[in-house]
Amino acid sequence: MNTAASTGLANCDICGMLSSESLEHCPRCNGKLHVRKPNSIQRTIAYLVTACVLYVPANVLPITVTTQLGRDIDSTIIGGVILLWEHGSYPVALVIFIASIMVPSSKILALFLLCWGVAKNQIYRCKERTVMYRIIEFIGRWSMIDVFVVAILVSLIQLSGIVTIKPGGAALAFAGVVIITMFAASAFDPRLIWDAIDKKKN
Amino acid sequence: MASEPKAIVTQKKKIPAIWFVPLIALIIGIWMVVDHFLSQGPEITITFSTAEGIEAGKTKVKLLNVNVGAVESVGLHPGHGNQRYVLITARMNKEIAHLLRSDSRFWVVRPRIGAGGVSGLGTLFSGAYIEFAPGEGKEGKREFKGLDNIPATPQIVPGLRLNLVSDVADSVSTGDPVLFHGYQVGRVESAKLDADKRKLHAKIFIEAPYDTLVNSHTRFWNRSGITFEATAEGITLQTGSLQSMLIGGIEFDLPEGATPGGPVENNAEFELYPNKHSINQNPYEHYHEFILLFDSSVKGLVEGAHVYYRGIRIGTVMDVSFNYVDVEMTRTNGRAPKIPVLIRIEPGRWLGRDSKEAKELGVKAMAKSVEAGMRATIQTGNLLTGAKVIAFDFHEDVEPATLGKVGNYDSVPTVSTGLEEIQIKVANLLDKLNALPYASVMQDADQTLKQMTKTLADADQAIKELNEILHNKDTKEIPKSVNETLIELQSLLEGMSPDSEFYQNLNDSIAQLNDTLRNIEHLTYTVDTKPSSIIFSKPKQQDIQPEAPN
Repeated sequence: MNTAASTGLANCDICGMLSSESLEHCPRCNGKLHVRKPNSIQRTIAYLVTACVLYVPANVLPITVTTQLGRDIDSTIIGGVILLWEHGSYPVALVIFIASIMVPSSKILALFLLCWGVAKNQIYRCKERTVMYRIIEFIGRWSMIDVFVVAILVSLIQLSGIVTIKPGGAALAFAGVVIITMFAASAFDPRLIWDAIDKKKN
Repeated sequence: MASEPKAIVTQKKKIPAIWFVPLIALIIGIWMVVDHFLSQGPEITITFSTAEGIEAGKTKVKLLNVNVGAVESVGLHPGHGNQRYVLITARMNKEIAHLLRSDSRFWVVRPRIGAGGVSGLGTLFSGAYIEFAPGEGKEGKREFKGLDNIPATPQIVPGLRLNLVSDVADSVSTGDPVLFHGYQVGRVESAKLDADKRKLHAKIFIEAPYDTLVNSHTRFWNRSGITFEATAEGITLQTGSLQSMLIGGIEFDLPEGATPGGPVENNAEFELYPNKHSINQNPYEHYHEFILLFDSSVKGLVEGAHVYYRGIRIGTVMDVSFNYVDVEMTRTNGRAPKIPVLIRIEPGRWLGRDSKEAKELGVKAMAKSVEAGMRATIQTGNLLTGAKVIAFDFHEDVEPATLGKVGNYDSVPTVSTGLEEIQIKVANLLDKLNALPYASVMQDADQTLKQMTKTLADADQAIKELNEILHNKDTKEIPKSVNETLIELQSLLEGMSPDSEFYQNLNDSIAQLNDTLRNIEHLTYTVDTKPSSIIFSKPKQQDIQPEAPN
């Protein structure tokens, strides 16, 4: 298969104009030309490591601190899920579990898998891996739901003296995880998945 | 041609700047962890008998209501044998680590709706917490034994601590108020039953400005809700306010008529009386005990009954039993044993002062009075309840006697009363009834009756005569003629009615007369103003023409 890269052509990152890579700069917008995103795998992995580091406080620290009649109640994400499950609110528990625990962790794992596949020049199931990448990019923003819920709760429930909700350290860390994984997803160049096939041929 | 030296191109091993991102995150993370462990205070363990209301991770340790730590775990102490404890691990704040001393105390504050009111209301919502009292001992202790009860007021708080001892202790419990005239001045710090002596020991604390209210003569009593007593003085029903009925507590005051005693030391022991009534029973410190031996039954005479001299109280019955004297000692000449009654004569009651001198004076007076014929008797104090009292009085027809001795006690001679006395009184009454002059009274009565019969017969005659007059024919005619007269009068009055001719004529005549009188009035007026008008006619007057004013 003939690719742009194999004929020395590169897409401008900014305006999308296809021009010769040797020009180094886009003749139209003067943006720097790259055949592939530079250091894509390194950057992705760096972001992923950061996300992993942040993932620890996001789950260990309380996401909300509820002060109910002078009594502080710390609730972590997984604690809230368990509480809801025990109280029989299975759908809500499932939604929170999927959005807050499963999605970020599976996103990190999937990106690691993609990076590994590229680094190892895997040529199998390239199409499936591209689909996986698309899904990751699409659902990335939706993980912020948890942070939004906390933000809304904190601003709505401020009955000082009776019940007040304050965001815990985990809220910040969790927001960090979501943002950093989005960066990681955008740093990853999906074209690298297919480059392995070209390399194999040569 | 020497080949040009070829530049060896080596890939520069540079680490992309992007790796700073996870590095910074890691550094922050590690710093947080290190900071957490560095700022962590000491971990302590406290044992409690129960973990009620204590939750791991939630229950706080507070000092003066400031959070100084939190419970980390709640578990069971391995224990020795059957004794099981709750082992609580708490993480204390670093700043207060130096306050954990060998005599630091911990206790659980729970909502308490007790006799002394509601306390720890805040914990109803926030849950129980562990209160911490630092103490002053050596630093560095980490294992503590929690207190089951809120500890006594710290020794540094000024006030008076007293021990109360009581036989019965219904409704005395820790935290109950100690009151003076209904005002709370302290509280019960602990109440414990001494199983060996079967007595209740209560420790009370009276706050500083009020400790001066307590002196050596002060009496404490249990302020229970309702007191019902039937004594020689009658039936007493005492109820406090609704609050006191619910709360109870201990009240103190001087007994009636007592003078304040000396100051009281800390931890002095006082008796706790069952009710207010009983504090007035034995308010005198100085008294003399006597034994009275009675022939007759003492049923109805109970401990605490009053001893009177002609209605004035001079003492109290202490006991009615053979506890204090040997039965044989109460026999005289081999007859049936007499009943000993132990009484206290309290000279302070009538001498006005409670002192040793007064007591001796009183005993002397007793001895003198007995020689002059004073004897003790049992009298019924209250007919309704049948309660008896001891009464001292002078009797004329008694054998001369002096104060005797029964065992270790002085004894006042008695005279028998009761049933025998009543019998004598009844006999006297019958004698008097017999002596009444029945015959002459009956004769007088008979005569009076005869006269009354005669008077009644006269009255009967008079009524008969009156009847005759009423039944006379002439008398019956009277109403008829009166009726006729009335009818005539009516017809006469009808002739005078407005419709009758006579009335019309009279009306017309009066109208004419009125006209005539008016004319005359006019005439006299004219003559009065112008006398010549009798002769000359009036000059003609021109009509007044209406015109506008100039």
